[in-house]
Amino acid sequence: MSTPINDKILTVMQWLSPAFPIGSFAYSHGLEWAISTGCLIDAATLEGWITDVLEYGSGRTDAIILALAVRGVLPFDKLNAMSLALCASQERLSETQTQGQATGKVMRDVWKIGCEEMVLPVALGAAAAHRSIPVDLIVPAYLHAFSSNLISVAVRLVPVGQTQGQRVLLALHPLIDALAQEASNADLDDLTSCTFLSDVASMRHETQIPRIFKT
Amino acid sequence: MTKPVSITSQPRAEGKLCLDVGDGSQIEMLYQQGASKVLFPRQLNGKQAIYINTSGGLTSGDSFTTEIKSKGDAQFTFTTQGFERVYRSTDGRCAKIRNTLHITEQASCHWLPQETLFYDGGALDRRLSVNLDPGASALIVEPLLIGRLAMGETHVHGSFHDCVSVNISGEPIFIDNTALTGDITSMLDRPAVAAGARAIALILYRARDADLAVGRIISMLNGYSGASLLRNDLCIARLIAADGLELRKMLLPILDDLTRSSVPKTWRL
Repeated sequence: MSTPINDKILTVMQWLSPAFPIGSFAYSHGLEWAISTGCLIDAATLEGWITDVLEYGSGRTDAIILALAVRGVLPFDKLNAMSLALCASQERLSETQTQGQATGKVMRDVWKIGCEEMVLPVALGAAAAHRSIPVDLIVPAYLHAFSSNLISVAVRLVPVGQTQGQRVLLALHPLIDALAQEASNADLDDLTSCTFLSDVASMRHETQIPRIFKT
Repeated sequence: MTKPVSITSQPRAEGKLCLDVGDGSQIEMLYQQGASKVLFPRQLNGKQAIYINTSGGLTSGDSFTTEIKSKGDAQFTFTTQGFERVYRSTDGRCAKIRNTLHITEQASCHWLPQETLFYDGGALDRRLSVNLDPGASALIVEPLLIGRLAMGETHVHGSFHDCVSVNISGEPIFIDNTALTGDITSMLDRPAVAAGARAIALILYRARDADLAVGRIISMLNGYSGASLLRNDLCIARLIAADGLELRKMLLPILDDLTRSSVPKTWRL
């Protein structure tokens, strides 16, 4: 006798897996520049930085955009235009557009879902809405994947070991949970931010030499 | 028996300014009400307006509206007499500011208010909405200082909301929606927020030569600030500095460059 498998959970796991072919591993979200300045040197400083990005910056705003898309609060094209306008730098624009386009293509080819030409959180939200996947499933999974990707950047670039990286990710669970709850009730006015240095990091990465990551 | 006088709600400052500037930077319409006043330096023939909040600053329940239209071939600059102070809110209510710019084809507008100085206990809800025609040019600056450092005000609580949004033909192209609420100085101390800095500015430059300007801006920034070309005609910069003096030292050369050395004199008094 086997336990019935929740197809929605498996679908979300597949979409937000590092193996989902949208190339997330190539985007550091400005982390590569922050690391190059010497302000991220260990697990504690890494956790501090990612906490800020989640709590006050693009992690939170992307979670809200994703939730707004799932909830169908406004048309996808309007939400998409607003998401593009909220991008703080050219690299922020390119990472959300490129990954969003790749997401749209895979959704079309594999799931027969039409969510092309949208930024990443809007495309994911549109696909989740299509599959009746609830906000409280997709949003924490999205934030978890986003955090995990930033940690993997740090594991590749700084002396943060793989095991330490997992500790950082585990420590972020309560924040991810709190943000997911906030996003489920948020509206457009909640799309605020104050991570000035994270935004600066993404700007300065544009002219950083040498660099490994696309953003 | 005399009626008890309510002292719970004090009269609050209100101000409204509407200004249309047209061909040859001629003033076509001017309406000023309440604590909002503008001066036009005579030798500049309407090309520049200096805003004065005659109430002396902002506090709970204040409400100010400014609406400026730059039309025809107008080359218009807006600035302020000095810092705009956001005083402690006595009852938790916000001071509310709504600023709107409309800039038509061929026209330009430089929105260059001096620093907003946010006191401990301040509460501000401010919006700047910039509406551009496709050929319009704009230079927008919003500098912010948190706490009166010279007075030893190193801990600041409060509520600061500031939204700058830019539309071209009604389509949003840039939104910066900043919120700093609660223990603001502790937030600014966070590593990805401001790493302890107390002076922040946003610059937005929309012009045909934005792609050339971005490199010059980058060359004038300190190690904590950045600039990026969002589109070929739109450049933004985020300036972060320890204090107001360091911010000015970085900001003024950039403004001199972007305005071709026509930064209002009030900036240098």
